[in-house]
Amino acid sequence: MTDRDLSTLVTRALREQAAAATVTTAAAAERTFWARRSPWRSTTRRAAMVLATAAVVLVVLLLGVTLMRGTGDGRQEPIAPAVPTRTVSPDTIPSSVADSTAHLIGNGTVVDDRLWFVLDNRLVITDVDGRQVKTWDLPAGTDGEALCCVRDAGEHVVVPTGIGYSFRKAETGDEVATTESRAAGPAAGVGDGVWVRTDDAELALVSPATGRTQQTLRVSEVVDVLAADARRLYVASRSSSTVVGIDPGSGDVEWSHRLGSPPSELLVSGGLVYAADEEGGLTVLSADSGVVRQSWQVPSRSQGPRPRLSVASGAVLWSPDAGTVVRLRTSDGTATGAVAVGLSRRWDNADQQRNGLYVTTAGIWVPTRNDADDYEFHRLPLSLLEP
Amino acid sequence: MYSARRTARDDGGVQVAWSSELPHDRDRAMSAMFGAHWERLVRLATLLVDDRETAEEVVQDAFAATYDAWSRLRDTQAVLAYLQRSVVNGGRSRLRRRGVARRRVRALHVVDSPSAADVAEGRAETTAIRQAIARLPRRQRQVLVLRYYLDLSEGEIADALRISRGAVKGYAARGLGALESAVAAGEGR
Repeated sequence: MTDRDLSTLVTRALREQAAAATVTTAAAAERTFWARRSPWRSTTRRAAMVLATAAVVLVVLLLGVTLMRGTGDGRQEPIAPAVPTRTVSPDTIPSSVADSTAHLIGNGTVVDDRLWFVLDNRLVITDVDGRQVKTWDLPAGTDGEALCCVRDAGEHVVVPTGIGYSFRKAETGDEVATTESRAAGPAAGVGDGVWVRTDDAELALVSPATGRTQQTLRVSEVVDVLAADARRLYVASRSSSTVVGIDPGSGDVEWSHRLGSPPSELLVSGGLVYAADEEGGLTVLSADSGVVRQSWQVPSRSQGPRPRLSVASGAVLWSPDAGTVVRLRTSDGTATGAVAVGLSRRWDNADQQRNGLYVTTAGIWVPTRNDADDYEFHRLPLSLLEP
Repeated sequence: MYSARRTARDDGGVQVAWSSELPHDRDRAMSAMFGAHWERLVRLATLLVDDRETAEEVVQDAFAATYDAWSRLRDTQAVLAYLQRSVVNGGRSRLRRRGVARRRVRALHVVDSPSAADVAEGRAETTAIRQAIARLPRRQRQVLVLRYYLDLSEGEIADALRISRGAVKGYAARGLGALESAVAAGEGR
């Protein structure tokens, strides 16, 4: 077969396949497009919407002030200008650039300063400099949204797969046990076990070394986010925007707190529970009582991955969006510094959303894309966050 | 003044020519772009993602992104390039995020077997090519779709995918090599 024959054949095959698709008419598609934007389309409606929005904002503000006075709770305070925020950019800051060629998708986890993440059903591990060193194939449907590191004698990483959980040795990445689950996703390590979701509202404490279930627990709502410490299990539900503290021994709900927005990440450290939400808010609660200790809100959250929380260098580090890291004191949850990573022109495209920041004790890793469409990791020093 | 001129192509498709001046009234411009480009872009997207619904969502997102980026675009050529690149990137992004790349390959492999009628009409070769395209690695498939479906040049593909021309050549050569092998294997059976 000549090159010309093959080209003709490929062109014909592609055109046949494309032509076979039934496509919604352009007029209908355009109606859908404008329907999604319709309230802002005409000048008159725009003006009406501005007035209506202003009225709603006023009512909400008045309501908020009334509630604050009524409860006495510390409400959400803006990060800026209360906290000194430095703006940096991977393009301008003198940083070491690692040469990882992995496409970084989803939330990874950090184990001993190495990044773990899931890409196209493969588990990828980098070295401390962000270079890809090992990969494994995972079952179809695996995502990296809830990679979880369990620190026990053997130290394991939990990878939710489409059909359950895979428990892996952190040192080598090798799989040591698996367990099945109809609703694999969130996981939280405690002691020598790990809590995983086995059904929408059912949790199981599993040994990562053997995959054996040690205890099961049913809760009243869908479990979307999990955290655990030696005394309690902390469960958040997005549908009700609620965080609850549960005694794992009795299954009793010890406290409950309703957040302003659906939670997307929980972390427990130093007797405090940190609940990050999708709207750029962070609520710091007492782990024992669920009472609000601090409440923070970034002025505007850029589009991107879900917020991340981690502990490094004696502080809790909160990344509310794709380009900001806030440092919080572990003793009381007070924000002491923030760094805003400037947008690079590389991201100026419809799909090229940033994949968030990864914090390790080695620094803040900022993934960007290079000309070969691969991700590069730029490391920024953690000292940027110091007051 | 904003205008789009539609002309018939030899293969029955539609070629759209644009005046180069970027209109200030982006609402009207978007309406015209829907009429001229929606169907073609959805068909392009169906070659890149797993199903029509996803393809239409990808193209809707691309139009929305273009609408939002209007003030940063220089002329209509830039608008079209942006729209096209957004579809390609959006398709790639959907596949990655949903982790469906492998499922898609399997699904196409199953549903796209040549029928007896295809064989009788001599279309088995085309079907074998379609199956082989579905099995190609993502990047090779993108390059071939842009090259042979959209008739883009190497430079335009490199620009759309943000890779070098050398990489485009490499992906195209490897992709075509795989397709040739697939056809040869089909003929040998």
